[in-house]
Amino acid sequence: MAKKKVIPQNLPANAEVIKFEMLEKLINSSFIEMKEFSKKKPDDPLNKFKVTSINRILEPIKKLLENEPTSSFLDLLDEDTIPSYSDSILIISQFQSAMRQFKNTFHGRTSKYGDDRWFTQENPGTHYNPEDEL
Amino acid sequence: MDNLIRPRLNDYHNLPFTQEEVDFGIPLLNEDIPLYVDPFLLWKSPSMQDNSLHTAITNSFNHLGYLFLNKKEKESIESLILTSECQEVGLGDSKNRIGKKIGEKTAIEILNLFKNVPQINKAGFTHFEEIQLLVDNISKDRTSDIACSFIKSFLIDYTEEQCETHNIPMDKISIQNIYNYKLNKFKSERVFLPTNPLNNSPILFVPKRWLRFLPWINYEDYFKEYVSKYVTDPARIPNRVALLNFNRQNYDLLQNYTKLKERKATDCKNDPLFKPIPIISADRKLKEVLALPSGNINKSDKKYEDLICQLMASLLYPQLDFADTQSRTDSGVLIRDLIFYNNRSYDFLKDIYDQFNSKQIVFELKNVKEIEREHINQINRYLANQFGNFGIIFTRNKPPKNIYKNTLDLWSGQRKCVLILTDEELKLMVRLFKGNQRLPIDVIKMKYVEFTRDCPS
Repeated sequence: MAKKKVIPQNLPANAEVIKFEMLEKLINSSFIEMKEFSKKKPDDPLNKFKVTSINRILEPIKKLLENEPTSSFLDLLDEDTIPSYSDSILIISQFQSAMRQFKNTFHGRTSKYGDDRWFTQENPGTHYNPEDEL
Repeated sequence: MDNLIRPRLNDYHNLPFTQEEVDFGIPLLNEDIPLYVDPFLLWKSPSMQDNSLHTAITNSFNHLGYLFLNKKEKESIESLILTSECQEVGLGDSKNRIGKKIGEKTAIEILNLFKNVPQINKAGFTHFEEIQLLVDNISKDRTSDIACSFIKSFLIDYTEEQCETHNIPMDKISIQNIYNYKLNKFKSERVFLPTNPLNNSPILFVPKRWLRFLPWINYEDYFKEYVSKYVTDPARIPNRVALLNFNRQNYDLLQNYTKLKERKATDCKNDPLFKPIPIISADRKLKEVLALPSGNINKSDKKYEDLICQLMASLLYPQLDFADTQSRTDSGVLIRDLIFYNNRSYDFLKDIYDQFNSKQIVFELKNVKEIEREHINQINRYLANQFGNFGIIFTRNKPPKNIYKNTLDLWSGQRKCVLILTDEELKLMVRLFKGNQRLPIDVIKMKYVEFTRDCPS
């Protein structure tokens, strides 16, 4: 008897997926830039503008991932504690990993020869599992 | 108020502005600001208003000479004596804001210049500061006071305008010896001006752009840059009185010097009330601090205090204006503090003002290997009155956990906040000062935020 497919809980909405993809691009480019700064002066502090603009990206990501198990590890940059470039790299990379985890959960192919796609509330789905065909 | 260290007018009235933000030198209530009005700055200023004021000063001064030459000696001497002190502006080095006028003898000596020096007799002065180079016992404070006395009427208007802009309270008060430019007479008037709460005397503000430590034309410069270049034989270098005599008889040489100074006018800049140390010097001082041993061997404690004092005054400028250093003895130990005015110019400064009633911020300096409970108790005993319940200890190493906990307990028990800053924070502050990306005062804010987060809720 074929196993009953388990549909992942808390599927994102289509709108959230669009937002996620946009934020992914933003955070990736910020990461590249901050890494360059960090190579040069890892211990130098970020100015307030940089902290605020990075937090502007991190905040909606944190909101998107609030129901995920990774959410408790995600902290925004704290302007008051004068974070350095290397601190910011660490924080951004944690966000990136959490986003990868999110994508791995809700993005993939549903059949053997199908294309990768998002599993959303509007268009639910689960990862293709060869065992399901047995 | 009595407890404030070196109180300024705005501290007395609880007005939150810093020296950097206002156009005038903020007057101290019980001593003078050690700067002087340099009439040359008015002459060279691009502003037509300043130039006209310079003309008015020179004309008024020359008018005294005119009176002296035209059989009104008594009137001119009296007028000159009246102009020779203008204590309302509070400039100079008096420790009590009270100055003395010149005597009749000196006044006659000055006015005799109009009689004895042909060029002055004919055309009067263009830069009356030259009297420093012609008459003994006349120096920068006199020329500054004479200039202020002649434009006192303008200074009253200026002060009123600034008071209205910054909401400084004024009282209707009588002010003496206001020079009337039309009648060339002095009179008294009742006007609205801020008053000194210590003695109810009127206070006049002076624009910062007119202030210098030394006037552009001054005796030391004249001697060093001009005379000593012409007199090479050390045996023939004249003494001061001989040189002044020589100048009176050879005024054309002095005129050449003045012309030279006029040509260099672009180099003549006003002096700020506080000048932060340059970055390179901050770096050097930090290295010196880090190399100092803790304790008091070879007076390292004194050196530590001096270095931190210079560093802090600059690193925290312009958010915190430096007030003074103060020494006190507690349980037989000499303690040196740095004191800053809290002008609430930054969000967290406003916070500590509101929460801890801190009108002035005290930094206690401790060049010790490890901070002890007694050190916390010392600052705790000191936190009262103007300092409110907020203080900072500067020391060398991170405090042990039990001491840090002690400060937290102090907050729990008495709602007092004592921050402990170390060499690490000092390094960070200098790095921020150098990097120009964030303000060094953010380090204190960081410690404050950390402290408040650790406080039991």
